[in-house]
Amino acid sequence: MSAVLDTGHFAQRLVRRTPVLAIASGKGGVGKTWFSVTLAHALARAGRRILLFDGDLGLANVDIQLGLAPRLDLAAVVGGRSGMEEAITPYPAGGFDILAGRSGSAGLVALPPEAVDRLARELARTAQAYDTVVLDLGAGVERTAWRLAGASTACLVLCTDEPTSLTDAYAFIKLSLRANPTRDLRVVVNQAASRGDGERTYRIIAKACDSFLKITPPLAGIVRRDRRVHESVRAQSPVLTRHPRTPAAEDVTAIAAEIARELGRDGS
Amino acid sequence: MRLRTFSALRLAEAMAAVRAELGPDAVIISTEADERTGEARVIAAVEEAETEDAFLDHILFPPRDRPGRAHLSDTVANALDRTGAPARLAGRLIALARASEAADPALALAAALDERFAFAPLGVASDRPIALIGPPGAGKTVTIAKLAARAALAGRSVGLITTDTARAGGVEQLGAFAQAIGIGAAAAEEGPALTAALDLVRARDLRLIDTTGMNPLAEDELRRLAEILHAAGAEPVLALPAGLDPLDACEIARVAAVLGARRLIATRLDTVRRHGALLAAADGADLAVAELGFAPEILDGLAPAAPMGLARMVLQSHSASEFHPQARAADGSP
Repeated sequence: MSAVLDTGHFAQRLVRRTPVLAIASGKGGVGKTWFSVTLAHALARAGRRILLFDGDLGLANVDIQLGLAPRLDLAAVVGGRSGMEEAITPYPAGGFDILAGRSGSAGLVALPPEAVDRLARELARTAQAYDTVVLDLGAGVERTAWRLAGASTACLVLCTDEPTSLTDAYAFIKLSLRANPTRDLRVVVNQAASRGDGERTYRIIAKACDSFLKITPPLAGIVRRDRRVHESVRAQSPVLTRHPRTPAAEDVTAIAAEIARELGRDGS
Repeated sequence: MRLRTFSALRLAEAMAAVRAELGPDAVIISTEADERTGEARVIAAVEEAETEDAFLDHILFPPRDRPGRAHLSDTVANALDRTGAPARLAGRLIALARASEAADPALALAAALDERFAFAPLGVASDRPIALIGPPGAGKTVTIAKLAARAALAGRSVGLITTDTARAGGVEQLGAFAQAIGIGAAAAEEGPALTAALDLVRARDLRLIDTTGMNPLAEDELRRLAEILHAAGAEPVLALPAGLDPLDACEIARVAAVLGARRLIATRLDTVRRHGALLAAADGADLAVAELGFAPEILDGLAPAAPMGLARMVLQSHSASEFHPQARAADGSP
């Protein structure tokens, strides 16, 4: 996976600010929120101070997945009723902090671009108290998610082997690169039937990017399909707490270890 | 990108299907043989026509970033954003403006404002006395003079009372205005004197009460103001000066609402470009917008509030601020 590290851009930006890892998918229903929560948890277990920022402004549900009832959320920050720091909820069971989004708030999706940019700047400032920020982006190619992604250091694009997921992930990569050709984009294949199947899925998206965009986004990792994921989500308890040795948990832990190693090496 | 999987008994057949369905530009993403059946499976992709790209472009890159392609909702969005109104309120108004389907930005914004806010001008007559309350320097006295002048010009009788006896020159200022309009004014500190003063003018069409500037954080002063309003049986109307921080304006408006205010008069609108505080206050305290004070002139410096006027004001201050370079350019674009 050494190709993943081959990005001077990444290292250069690390020096100046806390890395923000955006998690995007293009399409909903590929396990993006679960992956964001589990990645944040795994990074926290690796000893890093983590803020999980629920940027899924239209349909946020990080807090629901974790069974939290935050007093303040992103809507309060955007509405000027709260500062960003005050709206952060600790999540002791996972050892990381959360800034909850807000489910179904049309007002957040319809934010004017300048307001989203303000939010991104405030996030960059708040991030200084953390080692890494995990940014769970909205599903789909939607303007707010887009501008928030622009504020990130690197972006993990999550997909499954479904054609619609592949197509949407490709569209996200294509437009990201159009806006910024040096963007650090990496692919995560989720819900793979096996490692081999996951690699096949990655090769499809890699080949499509190579053919049409003349660029190959590296593979950040493969997460195997695992019924215990579903079980943990239903129990509103993180998979790393309930089943730390289950395949999906091990896969995300491996991705987190790679990221933590890379961030550590870059001296942040 | 369109992605398709083709299965056939032989690879050549699958390839032919790819060309037939996706055309000569299709790219073969993978070929494999099914382990069980031996069928050939080809995954192929073709880039969509530029229409899809144009659509995505439109979603992802706001027209403001692309000169020459101005768009209605972005005109409204940019104008609202520059008012400094809370993002959530701005977002709501933008959504309403879009939903209005009006072709003109001013009409679309007016429709949105009409939907979100109540507009209730004071008129030239009222059964209850009207007391203007508000922070010091809000322009209460001059607004009372404007309201009085308007009613007098409409042939109505007006009674003026001030309870602002503490401030140096408070009584004199109102007296001077009253004299200019050709009516009398009375000063009454509180309680019995106020009741007596109101009694003297009880037959007038419009009775206006000036009050001392209120400090929204000083409970004692607020209690005294509440007593005055109660003794007078007056409808408190908030005079809200432009240029406040939106959150401060909101707090003042909420205090006014607790004191019984249901309407506000926006004053000094000509002195600032950003009117977010007005929008935030009216929205946050659920106050109807009654009047817009946009010029210092007594005779025509006040206009009954209406959605279209407010919309024009928001859009105009936006265009008037163009010479301020909007330097916070696209640092958020990826």
